[in-house]
Amino acid sequence: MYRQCSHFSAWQIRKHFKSKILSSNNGLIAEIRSASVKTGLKTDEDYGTGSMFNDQETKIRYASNGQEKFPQKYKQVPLTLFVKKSKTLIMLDEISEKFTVTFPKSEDTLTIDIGPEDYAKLRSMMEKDKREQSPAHNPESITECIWQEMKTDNKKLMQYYLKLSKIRLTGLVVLTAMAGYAMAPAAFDPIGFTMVTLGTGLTSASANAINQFFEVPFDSQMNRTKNRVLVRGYLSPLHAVTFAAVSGSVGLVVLALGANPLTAAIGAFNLGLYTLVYTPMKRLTIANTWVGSVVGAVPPLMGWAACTGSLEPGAWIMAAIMFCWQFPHFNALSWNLRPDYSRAGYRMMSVVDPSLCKRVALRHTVGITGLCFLAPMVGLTTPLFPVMSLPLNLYFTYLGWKFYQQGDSSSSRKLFRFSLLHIPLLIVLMIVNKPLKKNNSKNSEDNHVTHSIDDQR
Amino acid sequence: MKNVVRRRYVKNLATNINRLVCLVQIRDAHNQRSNELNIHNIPPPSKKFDLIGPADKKSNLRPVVFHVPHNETSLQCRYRQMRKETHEWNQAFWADHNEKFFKEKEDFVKRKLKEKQLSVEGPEARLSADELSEFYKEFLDKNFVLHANYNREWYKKNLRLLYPAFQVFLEKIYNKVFKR
Repeated sequence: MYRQCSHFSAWQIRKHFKSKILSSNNGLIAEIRSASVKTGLKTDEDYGTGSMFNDQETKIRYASNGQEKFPQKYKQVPLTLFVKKSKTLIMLDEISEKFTVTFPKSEDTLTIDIGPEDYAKLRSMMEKDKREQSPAHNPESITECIWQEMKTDNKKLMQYYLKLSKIRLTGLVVLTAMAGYAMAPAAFDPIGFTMVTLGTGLTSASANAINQFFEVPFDSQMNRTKNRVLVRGYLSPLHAVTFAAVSGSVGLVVLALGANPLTAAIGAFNLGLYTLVYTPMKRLTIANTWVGSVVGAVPPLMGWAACTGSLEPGAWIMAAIMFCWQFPHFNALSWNLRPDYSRAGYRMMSVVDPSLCKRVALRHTVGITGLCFLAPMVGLTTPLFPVMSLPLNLYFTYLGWKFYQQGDSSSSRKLFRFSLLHIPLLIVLMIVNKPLKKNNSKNSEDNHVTHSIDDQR
Repeated sequence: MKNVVRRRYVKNLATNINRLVCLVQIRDAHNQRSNELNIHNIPPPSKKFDLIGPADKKSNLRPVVFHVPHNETSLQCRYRQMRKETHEWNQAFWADHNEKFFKEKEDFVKRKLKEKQLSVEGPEARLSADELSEFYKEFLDKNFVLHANYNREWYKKNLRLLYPAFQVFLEKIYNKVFKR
């Protein structure tokens, strides 16, 4: 007799045993096959840093000290534990070699001791690198394994839109645009600032939605992206495209009216570059990384243009720093996704030319350090900025060097994680070191005027 | 354990999670051959909507069961046919492509292990990521034209589906508003 989902079978155990510690001495043997186990690492949809475990077979033995209601000897029964993605339900306790199953709603805990040999087997199964398995073999939650009706759930619409717009990525883009606005040497206008933030956010959301629309079958092939909105059918493609069209046009209009036409033009250029050039190029040549880096470098230009109305050299230095940053960031990320990229047909440096990948990442970390020294020369920051940012940049370069030398998953992950920390800190340092408007120039102007008036007398 | 699992709980769960979960056959515990979860799903009949199912093991794409309403108009029929055709084409391509990928990977691993004169089975029978990356590059280069053609076809088909979808949407609104 098969059960629909032994999530509730586990409940049966709970109901009868009430968090007893099950020891390996005697009693029932039940085989548990757990479909997927999630650790405390949050699966970051965009960055794929979560680790996933796969199917294991384990045996549960539990102590029966004669007080339970059912007899001591049982026949083997297959049990499957489905673990929901949202909570950490199964944890391996390394010290006592047991594992616990936690039921969040009732806050009950079931501790299972499967004996040292089985525990070692379980651990080795979990540590085996299962990332090479295709998404269909890696279910993370039961919702991935069942048939669902394709109707739009209107209560979750906002959530779907945020996912469609890759909200975390959009947030970072908006942050860099705000930084561009903040560093521009013109007066701070709160309305202009809000408009450029809003406009950039909407435009970026639109670009990401179109990107997801184009890449549905490729996203299904990769573990990192298999749960995207369109892949799962939560929204229809027409819905996604309409969302993209509306948010894109509104965003560009907001930029044009709230900031200035130059900003809107740059925004439109970036939108086109991302959706029409970068997205198809990802599958044709490794040069896509350079195009993608340009896409990432443009938001500070938008912020700057919204503030001053033109693009001074300082804006280009900021954009160049952002451009250089993209390489260690993306190359480190893509290093661990080589099998997925290869199977899905993406042409990335990490797959096609791994040594180039490492070289480029290192090259550009050095480039960032150099560009920070260039910043005071164009008046972007005070001369203190390169000094203050030197430790940060040197550590980033050091991680880049480590990645270049070792080229393994741990060094790439370290580099990637630090890159996420590096750019906000660098931006903060830039803003802190923004040169103040000098009053001397104003006085000297007055002096000139009085002199000329005196001369004319 | 017989008396532990009662039918009452089966019913409870069925109503609780999702009425669409039908017969789920869990593979026999004694079957040691594969340690993966094998769920055979039969899509439940839906009265109004299309159904999207779990990812296909070979192609990783999610199959769609199209709902044919009684009063289907010609526009809706045409749109449905187009979608069906696109899905089937996609499914065929990726199933074939993935099979090729895994087979070639296995051959590569065997070849490399033979060169390194290690046994094919056993815990050391794993290539490092760098050695595997050689295979990944080889695979991408070999299939460049195939991928490029697929991309072009996919973009065309995907974009072609948009206008019929829009027509169906407009028609639905028109019918709702004017034919009530």
